[in-house]
Amino acid sequence: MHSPAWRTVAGFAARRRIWLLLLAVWGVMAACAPHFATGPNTASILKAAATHLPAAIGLTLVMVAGQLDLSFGSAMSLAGMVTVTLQPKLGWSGAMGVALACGALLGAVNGLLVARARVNSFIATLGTMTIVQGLVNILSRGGTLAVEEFAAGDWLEGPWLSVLCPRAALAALLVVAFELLLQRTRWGRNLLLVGANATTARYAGLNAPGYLQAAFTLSGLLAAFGGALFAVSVSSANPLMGESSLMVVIAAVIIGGTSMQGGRGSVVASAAAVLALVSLSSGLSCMGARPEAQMLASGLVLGASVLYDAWMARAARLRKGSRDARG
Amino acid sequence: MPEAAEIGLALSLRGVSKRYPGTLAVDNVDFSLRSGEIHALVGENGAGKSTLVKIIAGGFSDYMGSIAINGKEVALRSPAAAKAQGIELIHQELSLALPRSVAENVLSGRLPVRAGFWVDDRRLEADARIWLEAVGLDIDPAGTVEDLSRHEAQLVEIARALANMPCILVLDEPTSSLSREEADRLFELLRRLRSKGLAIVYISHHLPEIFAIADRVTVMRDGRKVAEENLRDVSPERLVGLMVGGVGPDPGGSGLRARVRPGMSLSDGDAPATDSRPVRLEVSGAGRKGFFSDVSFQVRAGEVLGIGGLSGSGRTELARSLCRIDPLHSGTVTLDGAPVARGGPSAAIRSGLAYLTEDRKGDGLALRLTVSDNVLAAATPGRTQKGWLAPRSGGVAALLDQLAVQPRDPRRQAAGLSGGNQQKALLARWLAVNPEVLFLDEPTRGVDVAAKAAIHEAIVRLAEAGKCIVLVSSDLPELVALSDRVLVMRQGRVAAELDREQCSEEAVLLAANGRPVPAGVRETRAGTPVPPDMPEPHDVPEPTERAEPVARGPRHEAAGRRWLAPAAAVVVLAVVAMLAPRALFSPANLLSVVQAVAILGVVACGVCFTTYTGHYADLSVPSAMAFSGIVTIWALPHGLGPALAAGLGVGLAVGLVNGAAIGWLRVNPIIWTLATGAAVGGLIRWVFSGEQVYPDEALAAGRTFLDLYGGKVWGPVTLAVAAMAAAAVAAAALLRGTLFGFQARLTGASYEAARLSGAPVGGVVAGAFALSGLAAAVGGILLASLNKVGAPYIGKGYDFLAVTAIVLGGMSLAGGRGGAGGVLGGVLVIGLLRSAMNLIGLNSFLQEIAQGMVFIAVVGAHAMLLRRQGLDDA
Repeated sequence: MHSPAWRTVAGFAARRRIWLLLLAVWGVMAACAPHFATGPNTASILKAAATHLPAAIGLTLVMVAGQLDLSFGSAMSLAGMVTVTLQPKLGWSGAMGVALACGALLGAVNGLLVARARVNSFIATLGTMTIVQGLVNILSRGGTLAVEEFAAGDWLEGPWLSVLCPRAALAALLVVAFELLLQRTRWGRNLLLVGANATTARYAGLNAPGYLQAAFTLSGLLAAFGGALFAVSVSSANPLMGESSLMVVIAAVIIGGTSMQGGRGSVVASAAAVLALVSLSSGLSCMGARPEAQMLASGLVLGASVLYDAWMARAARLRKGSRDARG
Repeated sequence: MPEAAEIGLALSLRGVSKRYPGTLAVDNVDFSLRSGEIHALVGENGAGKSTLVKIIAGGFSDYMGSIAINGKEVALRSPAAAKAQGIELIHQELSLALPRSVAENVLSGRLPVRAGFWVDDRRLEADARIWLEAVGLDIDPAGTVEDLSRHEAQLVEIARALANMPCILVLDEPTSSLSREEADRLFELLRRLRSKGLAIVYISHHLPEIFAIADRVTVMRDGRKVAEENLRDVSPERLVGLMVGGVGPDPGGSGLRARVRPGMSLSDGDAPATDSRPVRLEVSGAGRKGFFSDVSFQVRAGEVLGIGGLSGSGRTELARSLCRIDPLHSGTVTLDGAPVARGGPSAAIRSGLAYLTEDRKGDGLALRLTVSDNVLAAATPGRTQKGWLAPRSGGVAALLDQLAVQPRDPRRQAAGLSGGNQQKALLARWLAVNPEVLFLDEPTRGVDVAAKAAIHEAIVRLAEAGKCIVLVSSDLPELVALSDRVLVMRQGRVAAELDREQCSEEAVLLAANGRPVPAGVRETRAGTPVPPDMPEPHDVPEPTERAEPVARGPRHEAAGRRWLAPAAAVVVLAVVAMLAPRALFSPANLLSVVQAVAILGVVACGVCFTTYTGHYADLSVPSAMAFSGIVTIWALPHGLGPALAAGLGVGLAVGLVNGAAIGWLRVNPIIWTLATGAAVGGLIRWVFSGEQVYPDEALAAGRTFLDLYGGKVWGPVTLAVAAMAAAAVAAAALLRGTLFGFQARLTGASYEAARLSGAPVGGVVAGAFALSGLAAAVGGILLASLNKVGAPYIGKGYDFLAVTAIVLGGMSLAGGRGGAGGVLGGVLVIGLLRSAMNLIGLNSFLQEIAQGMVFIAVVGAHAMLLRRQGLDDA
C-alpha cells in the first residue's frame, strides 16, 4: 500500500495535472529551447492558442454533455472560407456574420441528429464533417484564398498589451465567459447534469435534448468564430486550417480532464491544455524540430493522457469491482 | 406543504389499465390514497405493483382509465405532468448523477440563483443540508455522489424527492439497501411526513415493515386489485393468502418443500456427521479487501450450500471472487484437491466453476443476440475444433425443453423473452457447460412461480448428479428449503454455519443480524410469514419486480431492423440507377467499379471487426495505410517478399498497439485511434523527413510492386479485386465459423456478459483491432502500388469510407450484429454511387458531399426508426 503522503501528492497531481503539465512544459522549454522564453515567441504562442481556443471551448461544452463533436474542424475551415469569400462584398463584419451563421447552422444540424434523431454523436459528426469539408473544398477549389485588405488583421494581430494581441485577448475573454457560464450559471450546471446522467436530468424536469442541441449549436458557433477570426487576422483562408486544429483541440480537451462520459469538465482546464500543447510545439520548433515532430508529440501526449485515465479507471474497477462501476 | 385533507382523497384511480404488447400488466384497477396515510401496495412479483406506480409517476403516456388528484381529474402522461401534480416516485434503482455534488443532485433542476443568473452555491448547500438532515444524513453536500456508499446514495435519492415538497410520495422498496437502524430512521421520517398530511404509497415485500408503518394495504395479483384492507383488520396470514391466491400461504411462491437428500440421514441427531459424500470444493481463508475476509467452507458432492446474509454482507462479492470475476486477494480455492486456476472467469470455468449472475440484464444475457447464442455463450469454447465452430447440435433445443423455456425458439432475440424465460435461458447457459460447481446468485429473483419451480427442479437435479451447488439467495424460504447447510454472512465474515437441523428462516435472520442463534430452533414451516414483532432485517433485498418485457412479436421484426440499412442502400442504388446513364451498368463499367473499390473493400473488411466488437471504428486506418505503403516501397531494395512483410508488419503493429490499449486498458476507441493516427502520421513524416518515396522501376521488385494493384490473376480479375474477395471470404469465415467470431459477437453485444461467460474479451478486442491494422496494411500497399508513390497522406478518408460501407452494409454500430457480406455490399454501393456521379459529371468535391449526405440519411433514418420502436441502438 502507498503511504498517505504519497496518496495526497498523487491526488493533488491528478487534480491539478493540467497546470503541472503546463508548468513542466514551460520550465523545460525555457531551460532547453533557445528563444522560447522571449516576448515575440510568447506572443506567437498566444496567437496560435487563440486560433484553437474557441473550438476547444465548444468541444468542452459538447463533451461535458457526454457527446463528441468531430465536425468543429471543418466548421473552422468553412467559416474562414466564407469570411474571405464574402469580404469583398460584405466587408469583414458582414462576412463574419454569415460565417457564424453557417457554424451555428452546422451545430444545430449536429444537435438535431444527436438529440432528436438519437444518432451516435461520433457517427453523426463524422458525417457532417465530410459534408462540410466538401463544401470548403468547393469554395476554395482546393487552394488558399486571400484578400487584399489587411487593416483589420493588423489590428487583431498587432501588439496590444505587451505580448497579448487583441485576438488572443478576445479568446481569453471567451474562455472566462464560458467557464463562468458552465460552472456558475444554472444553464451550465444543468448541462453538466444532463451529461452526468440523462435520466436524472429528465426526472428533474430538464429538457435534456434541448441542452444537447444548445451545446452542439454553441460548438459550431464557437468553432466558426475561431476560424473566421483567424481568416480576418491573416486575410486569407486555407481549406485545411480546421483539420490541423482538430487533433490539438481534441487532445487538449481530454488532457484538460473533461470526462468522456460527460458530467465533468472545465473550459479553463481545456484552455490551459491548449496552451500547454501549443507551447510544446513552439518549444520543439525552437529546438529545431520540424512540424511533424510536433504532430508526433501531441499524439503521444494525448495517448499518454488517455492511458493514464484508463489506468486510474482500471485501478478503481479492481478496487470497487466491475459491478459497482455501473453505479 | 399543500393542504389536501379537506378533500379526503389525495389520489384516486378509477379503472386504470396498462397494456403491454401481449399482456395486460394492470387490469382495471381502482386505487385510493388519502392525505395523511401510508398506504402499502403488496403483491407477488409480476402482480403489477411497479407498473401501477409507474403510471402514477407519469411513466406511461398510454394508460387507460381516469386519475383524480384532490378530486380533480388529471392526466399523468409524462413524468413532468406527475411532478407538477406533486407526485414524487423514489425508484428502487438509483438514478443519481454520480460526478455531480450531493447538493446538485438533491436540488437538481431547481438550483437557487442570485441575480436571476448565477448559481448561489452557499444557498444550494444550505438548502440541500436541510433535506439531508431530514433524512438523517450527515454528509458534505459539496462532495460528489460517486464517493457515497450505496445506502447514503439511497437516502440522497429520498432527500431529492422530499426537496420537491410532494403531496404524494411513492416509495418502491426503499429499505432494500438500508441497515435496520437506517430503516428505522426512515420510518420515523415517514411517520413525521404522514402527520404533516403527506400521502404515501409504500411498496414492500417485508410484511413486518408494512404492519409496522402502513395504515391501509392494497393487494394486487395478476394485474388486478384483489383487496383493500385496513391493516388493523387483517392478519399476516390472510394478507399472504390474498397475495398468492388459491395456492396457499407460500410467499416464496414455488410451493417447494424441503427436498429429501441422498447420502445423509434425516433422522434426528446425526445429520452432518454421517455425511459420507466426498468433499469436492474447498475454500479456505478467502478474502477480498473491503468486501469479505477469512471465509472458509467445504462443499460435498451433491450438496447444496446456501449462503445467506443481508445485502452488502459480501455474499455476492464472495461468489464473484471465487469464480475469478472480481479479484481474490487471499485464500485458496480447490476443487477435488486441485487448485482453481487464476486468470479470470474463463480459467474458473475451465476448472469447473461457474457463476450465475444476479444481474440478468446487466452482465447476464446479451439481450440483442439470439437465445441460442446466449445459451451457448460459455459452452462454445468446449465445442470447437481448432478454433472452428462445430456444426450446431440439438443441445440448445433440448436444454430449452428441459427448462420449459417459452417460446421454444433458439433463434429468437433474448430481449423478446419474458423475465422468467430469460432467467431460464441464463441457467441453460450453465447447464450447457455442465460445471462441477455452480454458484447461483439470486437464481429466481423477479421470476414468476412456474419459472421458479422449473429453476428449483434443475438445481435439485444438478445436486443429485453429484455437482456442488452454492446458492446465494435472499429469498429465505428458497434458501432454507433447498440448502443442506446455510452459511450466514455478516459484514464480510461468516457469522454462522447452520446445518440442516438448525436451519430455519428465523435462524438465518438472527445470524445475519449478528444475534445468537438459539440452540434447538426448529425450522419454521417454509412460507409462514414472520410475525410483525420479529426482528426482521431491513436490508435483505427482495426480488426486483420489473415490468416484464413481453415478447415483442415475431422474430422477423428483429430481422427487419437488421436489414434496414441494407434496404436503404438498395433504395439509394435504385435512385442512382434511375438517374444514371445506362453506361453505369455496362459490364465494362461494373468491372471498373469493382476495381475502384477493391482497396476500400479490403480495408472495410478489417475495420468491420472493430465495429462488430462494439468499438465503432478505427480512425488510425489512414495513417496505418500510409505507413505500410511507404515502408513497403522503402524496403523494396531488399526484395519484394521482405518489403511486403515489413509493410504488413508495421500495419499489424499499429493494430496491436490499438488493440492492447483498447482491449485491455479499455481506453475510448475513438480518441485512442485518433491519437495513434496522429502519432503514426507524425512518425512517418519524421522518419521520412516529410518526403515521398518512389519505387525504383530498375528493380524487379519495384516493377512487380507497381503491378500489384492492376496485375491480372485470372481473366479480368486483378490482384486487388482478388484481395478484396479474399478479405471478404476470410472475414465471413472468421465471423461466422470461428470461436473468435462468436466471442466477438458476444463481446460486441454485451462486454460484461461475454466476460462472465468466459470469453477472453481483452484478447478478442485486441484481435479485432489487429485485423483492422492488417487489412489497412494490405490496403495501404495496394494504394501505394496504385499511386506509384509512398506518401504520408495516402489513405486519407478511408476511415470514413469504411464506416460508411459498414453502416450501409447493415452492421449495427452498437456491435454484435451484421456480416462481411453486408459490408461488401456496402462497399459496392459506394462504388456504384461514385461511378454514377462520375458519369453524371459531378466534381469530386460534390461527390464527397453527396456521400456524406447518403451516410447521414442512412444512419439518421435507422436511428429514427429504432427510436420509434422504443429501441435505441447505439
